[in-house]
Amino acid sequence: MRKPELLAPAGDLERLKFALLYGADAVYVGGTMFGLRANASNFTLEALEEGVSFAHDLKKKVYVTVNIALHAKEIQKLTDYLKELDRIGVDAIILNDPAIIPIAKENTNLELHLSTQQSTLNYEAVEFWKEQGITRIVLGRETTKEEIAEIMKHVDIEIECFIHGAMCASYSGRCVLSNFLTARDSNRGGCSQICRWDFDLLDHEFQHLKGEKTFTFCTKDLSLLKYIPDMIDMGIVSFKIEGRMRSIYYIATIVDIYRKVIDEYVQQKETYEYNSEYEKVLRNCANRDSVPQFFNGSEGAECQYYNGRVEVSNQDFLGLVLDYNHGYARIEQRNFFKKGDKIEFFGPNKQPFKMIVDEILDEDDRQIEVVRHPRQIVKIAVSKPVASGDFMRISK
Amino acid sequence: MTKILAIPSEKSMISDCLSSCDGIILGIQGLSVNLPFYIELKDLEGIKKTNKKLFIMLNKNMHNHDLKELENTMRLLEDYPIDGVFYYDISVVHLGKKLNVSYPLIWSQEHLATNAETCNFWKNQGVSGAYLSNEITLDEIKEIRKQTDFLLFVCMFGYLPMFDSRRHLVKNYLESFKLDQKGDQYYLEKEGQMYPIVDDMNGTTVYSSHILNAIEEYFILKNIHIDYVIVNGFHMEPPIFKQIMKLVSTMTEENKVEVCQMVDSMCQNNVDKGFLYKETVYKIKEGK
Repeated sequence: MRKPELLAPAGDLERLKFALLYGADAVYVGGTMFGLRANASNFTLEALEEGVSFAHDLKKKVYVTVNIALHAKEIQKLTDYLKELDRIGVDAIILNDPAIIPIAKENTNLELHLSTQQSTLNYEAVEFWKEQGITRIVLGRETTKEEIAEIMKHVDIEIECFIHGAMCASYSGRCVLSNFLTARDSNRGGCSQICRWDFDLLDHEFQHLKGEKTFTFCTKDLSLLKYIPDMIDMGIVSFKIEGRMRSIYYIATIVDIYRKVIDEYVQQKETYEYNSEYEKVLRNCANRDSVPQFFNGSEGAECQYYNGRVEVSNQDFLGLVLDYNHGYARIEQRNFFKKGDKIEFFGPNKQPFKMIVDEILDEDDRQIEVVRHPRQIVKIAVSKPVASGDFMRISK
Repeated sequence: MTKILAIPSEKSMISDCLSSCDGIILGIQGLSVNLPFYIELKDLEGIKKTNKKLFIMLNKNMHNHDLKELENTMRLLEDYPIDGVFYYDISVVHLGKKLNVSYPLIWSQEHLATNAETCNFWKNQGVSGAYLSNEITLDEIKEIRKQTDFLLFVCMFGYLPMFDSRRHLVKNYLESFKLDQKGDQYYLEKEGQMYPIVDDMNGTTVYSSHILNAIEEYFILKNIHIDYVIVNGFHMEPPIFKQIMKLVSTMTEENKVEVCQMVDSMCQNNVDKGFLYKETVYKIKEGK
């Protein structure tokens, strides 16, 4: 059985390191130009160089998104940029605009992946891109399990599928609501997420059609946790998590859970059982509901937020472990906690453990009862050793 | 000479469009989206008896289950005197190569046709032309023209598609709240603007609130040798669209401003110039 690649988003160097340490096999990142998340921190070439070095030391990979719809002024800068990516040693670029293909081939040895922005949904299109030298296709998120299988039956090429994260309401690349309503170019990284706005719906005679909630395009998120075994059996090469704008806690949590599920299934397929506790962790970490979307054929109202969009601010993330010394963890606070709270620590390559906070010290080693200040540094007595980069969250 | 192509508002207007304009664009049921109506392949018989241009729009996002019908249609289109096929999905190019079709293919990926390099990529794949994105400026159109000898198509009039989804967003909403469906065409309202939204067998499409009226720019487009301009009758009352086509096809350099104003008035001044003079913004940092 081929073990799939777990591919995580990384909006900056810190996220890249967390994603890889928590179990991602590869990360995808944006540079300061040519990527579709213009508002993420993104990577300068120096940061990218450090990120690639960090990843390669772990025998992991870094892919760079070059997936905007190019305009003439961007093309002028493209060749030099691609040469730099090649020099740095990135493992592939993820492109949308096919103008990049001949430029990359002539000037670099970069591996070429096709972005989901092309909405590739069928085997004839996949065959075309393979003939152009594309080595991996990120399929459109509208493909069903059966459609993916049929594509793979027809064409021998690496297939990458999204498994978790936010969804476009439209076919990717086919929405310019942002351009028209806010003059921000959605296909060049400026998407202002109009699909999450509310609208009034009227019939063709301009009569209002009012439900209990107003109309919105807004979709629930994608989660294919239950379908990971199916996807592994299908031979899908890469499992992609969406969210380059997400926090280190979100990325570490999602990567950690999918890492566990993939490893458990690959190592013991015969005895593998779905663990609903993992689903609970994902649900607690997210700020929106998630469903399997098109993968299992769903595309109806159950995928939308018509019945009231619940988007809660996540306060599970209590703190980041800075270091550990003789039974005490030094913590950088991220959300309020106090003595007596039930907490849980988790980190890369270790079993999570739960405990109750019974001793908190401030930076001068004075006993305190509550930790209420953002990024406040405190020490707490822990029942097991922890390490820098571990997370402390609410135990539910 | 820049030719004027019309997308008829309804099937009964095909002959009017052919007599007023240099040609028409039609969609095929099941393989096209964003058009006022769709025809069956057999309907093409008898349409082209003049020397006017006839283009077919096969611009749906194709799934595996569409491929058989697509291939069959592309093969059968060889039997009709068509002047080209617009495509969004790349399967059309691949099938075009496999079938060695003789009619020209026109790259029509709506919002993605934004530069000359990509036009030239498609040219090298045997494609003949590009329907340029509606979200680029007039200066960018001029720049593209300078850098490619591809056939270029530019939209000059009509509501512009902004959003395409496989999802049935309106039907799902109505079902969720037990409201009656009232056909396929609806409106979304936001801050006083009305956006036409269509939920049909193809999924959901949303259009601009304003009608692009770049009729005044026709002579600029002609002077830079744009090959075709498109006048789109989607969501237009047929009598009004008929008048507009007549005005456009007889317009001169001298009366263009007057014609443009008349069209504005016929559209109840719900018009704008799209992005021809308005550059979209996004956060771009200079990379090292």
